[in-house]
Amino acid sequence: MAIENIIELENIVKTYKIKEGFRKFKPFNAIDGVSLNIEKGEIFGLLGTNGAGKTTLIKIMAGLLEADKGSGKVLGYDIYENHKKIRSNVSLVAPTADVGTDNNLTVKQNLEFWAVVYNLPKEKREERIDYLLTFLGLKEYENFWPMSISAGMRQKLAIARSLLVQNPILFLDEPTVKLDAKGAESIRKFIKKINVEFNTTIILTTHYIFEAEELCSRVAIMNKGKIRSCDTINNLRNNLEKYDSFTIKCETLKAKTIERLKLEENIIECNFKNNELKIITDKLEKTIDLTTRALRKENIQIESINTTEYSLEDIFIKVTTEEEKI
Amino acid sequence: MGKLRSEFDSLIMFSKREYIIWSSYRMNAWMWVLDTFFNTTIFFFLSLVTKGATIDFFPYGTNYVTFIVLGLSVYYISFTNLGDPFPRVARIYWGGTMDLYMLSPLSYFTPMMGVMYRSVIDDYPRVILALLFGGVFFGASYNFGNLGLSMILLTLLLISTFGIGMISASSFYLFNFKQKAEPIRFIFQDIIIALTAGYYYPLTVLPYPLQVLGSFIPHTYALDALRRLIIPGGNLYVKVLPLQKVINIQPITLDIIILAIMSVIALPLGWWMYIKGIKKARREGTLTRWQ
Repeated sequence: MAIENIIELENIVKTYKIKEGFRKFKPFNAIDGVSLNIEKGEIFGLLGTNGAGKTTLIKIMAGLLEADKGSGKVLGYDIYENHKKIRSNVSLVAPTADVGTDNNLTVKQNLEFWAVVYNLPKEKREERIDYLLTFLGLKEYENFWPMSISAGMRQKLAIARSLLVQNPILFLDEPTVKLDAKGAESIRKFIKKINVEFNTTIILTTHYIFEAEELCSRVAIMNKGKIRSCDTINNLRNNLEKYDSFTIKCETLKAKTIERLKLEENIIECNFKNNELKIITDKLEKTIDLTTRALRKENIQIESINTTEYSLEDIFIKVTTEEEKI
Repeated sequence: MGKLRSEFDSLIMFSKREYIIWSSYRMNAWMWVLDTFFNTTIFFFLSLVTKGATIDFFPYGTNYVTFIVLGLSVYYISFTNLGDPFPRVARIYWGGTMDLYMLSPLSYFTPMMGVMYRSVIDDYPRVILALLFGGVFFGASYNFGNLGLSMILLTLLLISTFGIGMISASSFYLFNFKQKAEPIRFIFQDIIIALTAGYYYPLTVLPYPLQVLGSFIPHTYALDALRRLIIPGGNLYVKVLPLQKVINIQPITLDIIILAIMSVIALPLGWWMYIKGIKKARREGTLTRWQ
């Protein structure tokens, strides 16, 4: 069966003008030659640090921002010619749940307002709102003011608003940012549920790697406006197989030592976090030997050495740092 | 037809939302009534000062309280229609909701007009209250013999001031005036209108150059015609405005023609500029502050 692409972008470029003084602007390439296909029904993750270009790309795909160059289609509509059509067929949740939420209206009144704005047929409004309130676990809070419910609940309200009209594409821009672990977990659960229950294609941006790993069938890793890598997590892992990684547990480590290790020929990436030195290398045994010698020379006590499987975090670090090395 | 219907339904929903918000602050509602009452009271006391003085209100009758109440009424309408679109667009931008409205099937204008309801609820009824307080407590008297014509003038005033308001609002995106200060509104509302609208005094007391400056705003013609029609003893034929002295038509007819011309120019221009501004913002990525 042929794969149906719901979004197709080809060599998209978007440059902003950044103010640099009085009447002086410098160009900033927010998106720099991005090509991307997203399949119908998948949960696709856009992964990247702040300023990587994730939100800009989402806005272009949602028809809220015009690209400077390149071509593309969303739901078969041209991104330049039919942006209005695109906009009325996609839903979006902004990174802050409070965007679009009126604190002077109850949870239910908020949904009633947006149901009319999004032109949900009158006879379906009550039923749909009731269904979404139940579906997202908001029913018992329907008469609460948004300010009196938790941030997680407010995020669910924002998601409920975006689901009022059953659009085929849902953009979630950092859906769990600002939420505590429990709230974030609950939102992730609902993202999966929405994808399955409504067959909605979900495109989410995040800088939480584990989140993308848990939710997404495919991810694109963005850095400095470019897509550095785009594939399933398994394939990204397999591509890394020419490399190995290991961790060394030790008490402390000087920044100078890490910097020196980074300069070694066979070390691809090296970082020290939570008493663990993590190294990606293309020559495992040689690098372990070299590293342990270097640590012993500085009288650093090694507690343990473990070789590890690649996580998405490793891939992310590799992909984003390789570029910087070049 | 379906599209128009959904725009209308949305406007009704916006008005409901704004009413819920407005009425949820009860103290606010009481203060609102008292504010209108005291505004009218101030001008009643001013009218006592001018009583017996040889101030020439001709051709607008002799009742200063009625004169002022009509001035206040036009002020309230102008405050909303001309002054409100810009801050409302700013509110949509800073609140981050422009993107969400853009994703709806609504026209570009409906959300802006929708959020303006807060001021409509707040200001339009003040016109009725001012007329009421003036009549009941302070001796204002009205001649409603030409109610139809007065309504036409009021409608033209609403359209023309809203047109200028739209031009001002469009500057938010078109000229990137993202702060509170906005030159178009400042020039109209805070300079020309404040000086020459004639809310509190007849235009004839101003130096001639200012009278000429006043010829460029709709308030001048609306107030001239409304005062002639509604204040008892108002004269319908004597020409006092600079343009009335140049063009040989009956003053009220000329007022209506000029208001109609201003409406026909300002509203489509404001409409066009607003669309241009939104398109520019979509190109530049400045529809909301969320980037």
